[in-house]
Amino acid sequence: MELTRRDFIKASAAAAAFAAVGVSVLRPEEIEAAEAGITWGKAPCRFCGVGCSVLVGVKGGKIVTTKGDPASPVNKGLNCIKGYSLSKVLYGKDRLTTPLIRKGNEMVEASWDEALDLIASKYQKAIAEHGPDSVALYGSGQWTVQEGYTASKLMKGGIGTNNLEVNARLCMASAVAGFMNTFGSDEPMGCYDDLDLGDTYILWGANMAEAHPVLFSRLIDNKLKHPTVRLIDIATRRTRTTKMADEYIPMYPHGDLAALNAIIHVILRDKLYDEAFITRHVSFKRGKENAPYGLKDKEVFNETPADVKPLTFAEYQALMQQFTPQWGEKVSGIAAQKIEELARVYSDKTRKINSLWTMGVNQHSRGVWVNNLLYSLHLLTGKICRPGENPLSLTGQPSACGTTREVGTFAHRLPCDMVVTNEAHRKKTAAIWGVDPGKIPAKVGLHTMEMFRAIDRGELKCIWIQCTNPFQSLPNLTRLRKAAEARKAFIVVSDIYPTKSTELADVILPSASWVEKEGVFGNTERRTQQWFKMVEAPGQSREDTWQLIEFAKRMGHGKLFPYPEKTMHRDIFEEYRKFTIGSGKDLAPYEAYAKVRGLRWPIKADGTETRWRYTEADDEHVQKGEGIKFYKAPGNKVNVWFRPYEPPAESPDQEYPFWFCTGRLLEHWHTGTMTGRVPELRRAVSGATIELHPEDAKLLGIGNRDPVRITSRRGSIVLPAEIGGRGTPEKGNVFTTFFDETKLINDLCIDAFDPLSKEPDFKKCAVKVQKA
Amino acid sequence: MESIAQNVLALTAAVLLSCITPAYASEPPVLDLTKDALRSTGDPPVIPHAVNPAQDGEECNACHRTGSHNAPPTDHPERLNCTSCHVQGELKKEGKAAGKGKQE
Repeated sequence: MELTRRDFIKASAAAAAFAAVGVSVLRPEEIEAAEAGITWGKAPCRFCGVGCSVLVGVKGGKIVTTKGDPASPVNKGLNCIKGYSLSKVLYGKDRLTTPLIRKGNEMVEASWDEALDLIASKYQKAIAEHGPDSVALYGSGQWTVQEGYTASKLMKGGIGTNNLEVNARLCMASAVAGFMNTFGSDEPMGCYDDLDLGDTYILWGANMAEAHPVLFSRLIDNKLKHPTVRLIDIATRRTRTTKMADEYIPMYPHGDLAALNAIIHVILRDKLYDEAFITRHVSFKRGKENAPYGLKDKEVFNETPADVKPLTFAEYQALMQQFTPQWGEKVSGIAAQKIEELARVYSDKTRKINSLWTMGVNQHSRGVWVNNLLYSLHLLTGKICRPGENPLSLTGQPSACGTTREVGTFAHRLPCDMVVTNEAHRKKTAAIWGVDPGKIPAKVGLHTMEMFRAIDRGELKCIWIQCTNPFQSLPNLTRLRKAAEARKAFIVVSDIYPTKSTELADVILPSASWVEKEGVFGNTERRTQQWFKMVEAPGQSREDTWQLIEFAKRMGHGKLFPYPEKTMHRDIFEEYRKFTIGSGKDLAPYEAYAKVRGLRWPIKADGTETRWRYTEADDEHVQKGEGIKFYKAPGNKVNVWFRPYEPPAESPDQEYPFWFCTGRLLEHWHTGTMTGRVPELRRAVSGATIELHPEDAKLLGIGNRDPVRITSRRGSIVLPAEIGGRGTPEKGNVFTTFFDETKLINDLCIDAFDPLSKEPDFKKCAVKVQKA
Repeated sequence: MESIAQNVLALTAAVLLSCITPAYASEPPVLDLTKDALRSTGDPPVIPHAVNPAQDGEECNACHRTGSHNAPPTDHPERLNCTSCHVQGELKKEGKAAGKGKQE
């Protein structure tokens, strides 16, 4: 392997750069002829948080083809296979096209008026009898900015409840809390340019080759051009990412919490830190410990200012003494020697160090703490806020950033990092919304796990789900599906295809998707991207914004949405934009986004974008001579948190001896409702499998493709074994994916969550494994 | 007669034009993306032969870099993350890939 890679790199020294777009084998005249009559538009990809730009070819009112957008700085003409399938995802045979109302076990076609009148009457009844907190709206990181903003204004400024949540609670909530309690502001300080400019990339539990393929390609390209570039893959499982990495470091599940503490211990012990940087920029803090795991309904655990104790640097160092490399090895599975090495890598003044992570760190019962510790590595060594050197929190969805985080569509949030519990924030929000400040509740609403549990307890009467599939994707799924089946709440689902959630709905509404409506997304690197409507939505399907506004009118809140239909998308964006002006998250005027392949906020006074935040070199909020300034943090000092090791919610034991990990793979997106309807993607990966280590399989008498029964304390399932495939778990671990609607693997998952972020841990629980 | 026909034609053209530009209060720039489209690609071919599911990059290039063993030569050998675009399709031929082929 080593030899092959070296040879290849030598051979590729003169190879064309990534920036060169893949040229077609057809001659230009042939292409022109083939594509005559096609009109082209641009849009960000409908899938992941990378935010590639796509050229959409429309002919005869239909999307006939898509191509990678060569003018995009994100992907430079490349997509992944999901992006290349975009012209097919909206044309599945069973696309929803009419509203449907449940009558017993049947779903009966209805008109929009009938459906919306019914929904409004149910919501009004619940509110009249039980108050506004008896209803909820559950949206998505795949909502456009306009959809999220409308939802927030309606629920918080109209109906008067904070029961607004999104599926981003299940992916990015830990990252958000980590940003907020470290920097005082959400979202990265760096950008994708760091992938081209750095020389050391350390991945923590992130299978980038399959989950962020185009970004991974960008990293590989950097490696090819600069042979000193190193890619270190720290993971619980060998993947396609591992194949391209220079080093693979296997780790026990949950081991990141120990390994990071041990690495920091070494940095402190050997004085590898940047004292000047620490003195200038860093405050040390200790938070609330002995945290629960969210396993009990209505459990409350928050880290308030009263719970936080400031530490001196000396006190912090004393507390960190316990996390020796030897201790780290025992708990994390990473050798003490390797921990020492990593401390040296992280503090290497001759190299530009980047950390990258997503769900391995975020979907973690101590995910916020792990986010904190990753930032500590960069803050203690001063390796941050420099081109080519930053920690980068990767995101899962196309607009978890742009919509859910920036617009603030959560039970505790308002736009632009503001929170419902802060009176000044409520006042500012109310002023822009044109509502009485007393309307916006100060009380935090139900977070996602609690929202669905509240249905089971009969406390939540109505829930409207848009653009997501919780009755396939939530952990400890059986409890929640049973509650829905028992009709404990009135459930509305807006989607584009029948799903495991629509099958439990009282009302199904057909939605317009992607370029069937105008919209804006925001990706991982703060890039806001806009697109125009390019084709009509099929049948009677309508965009979610329209659905919400029609509902709002029936609820007596129509005046909150006075936008003429023709200019609605721009008007909503411009109103939302007001929140951002002067905040350090400034957005550009709507028209600007139509002209370019997106812009990274904060937008400067001259309309140009910011690549690196908090640095005088690029961020307008930092004056000349100030160098680096964390101007969103109180006193301009960021927090390095002391976070102890606390174990996972459930670990393997005698009865359930294996670790159970869940995730995604390249070809299918989330619950597979879109990708599952593309023939090429279905053919490539037709169903979920369970990956086993070959030695474990041998001991259990399991061969490749044999049916295997996997059982947890919550559920049981049979999956075909996959041994020697694209991924190999470490011994004692099994891995599967959640895209297959015929295999509800989330029945097995434990509904433990990080008590600070409320994000569930989909990566760790205990199972037994037997040949079926 | 001719001028009426010309007027009708002009009117039709105007109506058609007004249909294809998005109706918008302040007219947005309609970017001409045809040139960008010409210099880009879509539809990466699926893999018609069995591949070891763990193989990638250099294994694929063993045949596809130069087009040996009847493999179509690639115009982008420097892109090593092959399987991010090229996925397993219907098996049509035996592949002499590095590593054992997977039989369906």
